[in-house]
Amino acid sequence: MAHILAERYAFRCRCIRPIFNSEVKSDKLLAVAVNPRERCGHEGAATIAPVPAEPDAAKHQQFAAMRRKANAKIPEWLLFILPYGALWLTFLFGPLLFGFFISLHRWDPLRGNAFVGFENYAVLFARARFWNSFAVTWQFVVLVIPGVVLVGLLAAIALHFGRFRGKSAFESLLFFPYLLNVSIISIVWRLMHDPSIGIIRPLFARLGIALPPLLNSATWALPMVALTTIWWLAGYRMIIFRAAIASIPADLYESARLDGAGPFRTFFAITLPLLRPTLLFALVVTTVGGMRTFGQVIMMTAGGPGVATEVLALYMYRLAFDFADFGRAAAVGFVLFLMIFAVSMVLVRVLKLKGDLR
Amino acid sequence: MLRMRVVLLSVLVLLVPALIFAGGAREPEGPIELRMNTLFHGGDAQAMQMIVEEFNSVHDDIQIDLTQGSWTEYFAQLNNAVIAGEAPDIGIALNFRLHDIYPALTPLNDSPAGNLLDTYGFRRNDYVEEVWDLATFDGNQYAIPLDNTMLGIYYNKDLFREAGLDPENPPQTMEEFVHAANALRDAGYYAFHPGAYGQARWYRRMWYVNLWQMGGELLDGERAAFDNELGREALEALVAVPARGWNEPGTNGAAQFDAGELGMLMNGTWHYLDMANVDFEWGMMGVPRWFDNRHTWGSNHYLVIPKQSGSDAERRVDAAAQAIQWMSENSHTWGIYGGHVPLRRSALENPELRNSDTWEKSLGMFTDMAFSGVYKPLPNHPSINEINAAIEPYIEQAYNGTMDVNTAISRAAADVNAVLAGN
Repeated sequence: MAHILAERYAFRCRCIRPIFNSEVKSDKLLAVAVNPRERCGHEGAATIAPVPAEPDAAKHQQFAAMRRKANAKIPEWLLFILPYGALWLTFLFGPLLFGFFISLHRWDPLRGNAFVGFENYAVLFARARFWNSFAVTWQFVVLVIPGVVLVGLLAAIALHFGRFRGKSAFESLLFFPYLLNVSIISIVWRLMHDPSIGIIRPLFARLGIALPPLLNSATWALPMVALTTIWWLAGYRMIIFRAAIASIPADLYESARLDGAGPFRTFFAITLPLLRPTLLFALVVTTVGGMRTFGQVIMMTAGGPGVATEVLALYMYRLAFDFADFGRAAAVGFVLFLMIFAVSMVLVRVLKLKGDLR
Repeated sequence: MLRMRVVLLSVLVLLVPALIFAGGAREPEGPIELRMNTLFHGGDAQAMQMIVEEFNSVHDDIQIDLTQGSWTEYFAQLNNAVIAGEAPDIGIALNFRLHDIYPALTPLNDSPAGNLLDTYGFRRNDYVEEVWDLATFDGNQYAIPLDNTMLGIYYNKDLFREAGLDPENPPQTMEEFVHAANALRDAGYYAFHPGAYGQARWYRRMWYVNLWQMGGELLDGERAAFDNELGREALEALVAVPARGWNEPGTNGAAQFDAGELGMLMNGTWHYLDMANVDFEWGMMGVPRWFDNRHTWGSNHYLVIPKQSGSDAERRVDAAAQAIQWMSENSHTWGIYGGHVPLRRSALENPELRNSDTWEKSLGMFTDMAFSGVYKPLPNHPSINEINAAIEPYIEQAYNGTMDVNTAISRAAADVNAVLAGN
């Protein structure tokens, strides 16, 4: 019952949105931007705020026709994407193509570059260390995504619906790590793990648990880096989720309560379906971020012990900056790009995110 | 009247920057500012800082602007800076990176400013010849030897006393070493740390020391030469350190030692500088003869001039060579401040060096080791840097106890052979 209401409301809201919009606070405006289902494409909006009649309608039409004629050669969409498009071409797409070009060479500008076709890729695919990095990257993503999204979501729900003291302190504490630079969070956590001066081992020793040096353990090092990442990023997701939850109109909950829905039913029938676009968006962004992870790993473990935490981005860095093997490093970079691109596409299509982002 | 003022003011506004820029254009008659970029950090960086400050204070025509600190990315950055035409005027090279980096360096005998070896009197026989020759490629000289660094064992004399050991007679053989380490462990301290700061490369270097002491070699032509009993025994000896309770994996030995918690630390010549601030009595014992031959790992630093572009390249290269000559002639200060063995013979004989505290505490012993065959240079192979990197993850995992010795050695050998085969 309640989810039917939600559907109906979502339709109805299109018409009242201009009014609704003017009343929401700034954090709710953010939610409107994040929650595309709220976007109003309804033609009828003009009837709520009627445009004053044009005094000289004929002249106006004439101008409009002239402008149309002048713009006929340049499609409008091109003009709209031009500012960002220029930056995208220069700083993203251009380097991507150049990276692919480098990956087809033995790249050594001082001694002379040599075209080698796909040899760099063939060499990498035959290396155990490459496949280790590939596997480690995926393990890291699998550890980080549920952590970041779940902690963020649960905290947002607790903060929105919960009644307890110290709410804003809790919110600040959770959000605070996100304000810190990756090098700071890595150094802080590395020091906490330090076997001689760190705080973690003595703390657990007091509880009667003898921990091994976790960052030096092939089993624990990657989960510890993931934990640091969750601590770092969950607060930001929490803010996004909170904004999305806050943008769900209160009368939906009221109707649900009148219909006799309990808190669980309310959550699964109202909160979760209306959060869907935000959740999926967070999923994609966290996955992409997780696959590109570099800073935490190089500063907390430098890929060690052995190669237990050597993610693809770090392996690429090693090839380029330790061995000056830029051709193969570019090949790793391109593989990483293809991987991220493929995963993003799969998430967008399979999870029908595209429809939600429209 | 007002109009007049406006005109005057405009003229003034236009004229002032013009005058300033005109003044700027005449500037080059002042001192040349050279950019020097090194890979030194910690104590080494302080020592180099002191030397550069000294250089700047006695030179009016050349001033050096020093940047230091990044070890791992240093050579890739140098390489890229040369490609971009933004290279520093003076840099540092390491023996095991020369093969990678020499195309980015100015050949000193054939520079934009002519033959700098002749101009500034750099002669091969003024230096340790073997080290000079490592920087010779196709008959060109690319670098001037600065020093020899080495690993040796620093020990805490106070802890030795507490463990009932004689601090003036540190262990010389495997038997004495095991006895001392066990005594330190039983007294409640970390007994021995084989890996300096605890990164994988330090354990790998300790394994080289064991391998060489047993008579093993890293390479045999274009094949790994350690996939055998010697390689495995050398690793067993390293893995024995945590197994015997002398230390635990994942720790920073230098930090343990400086805090007075560690009896014996395997670390380089540079650790002398850390020792200025400790509140215990310490000594440096060199390396014991653990196995058949007394050997240790070490490296060489060189002074280099990265390739320069631009219209004033000739002038800058000439000034850089002048600065390098001064640093080389005065490299006894690098020994005194930094603890390394200088490789210019005159600097090595310098009385100031011979009478220094550094010499008495550690440098004298290291110098003996350098010239008595204890120091064993790495194989001079073009891919030595990649070979090192291929080996170290396996050594570290064995030390951590997460991979058995046989697997570690055979995988390291397989990876080295892949590097040697060009893959």
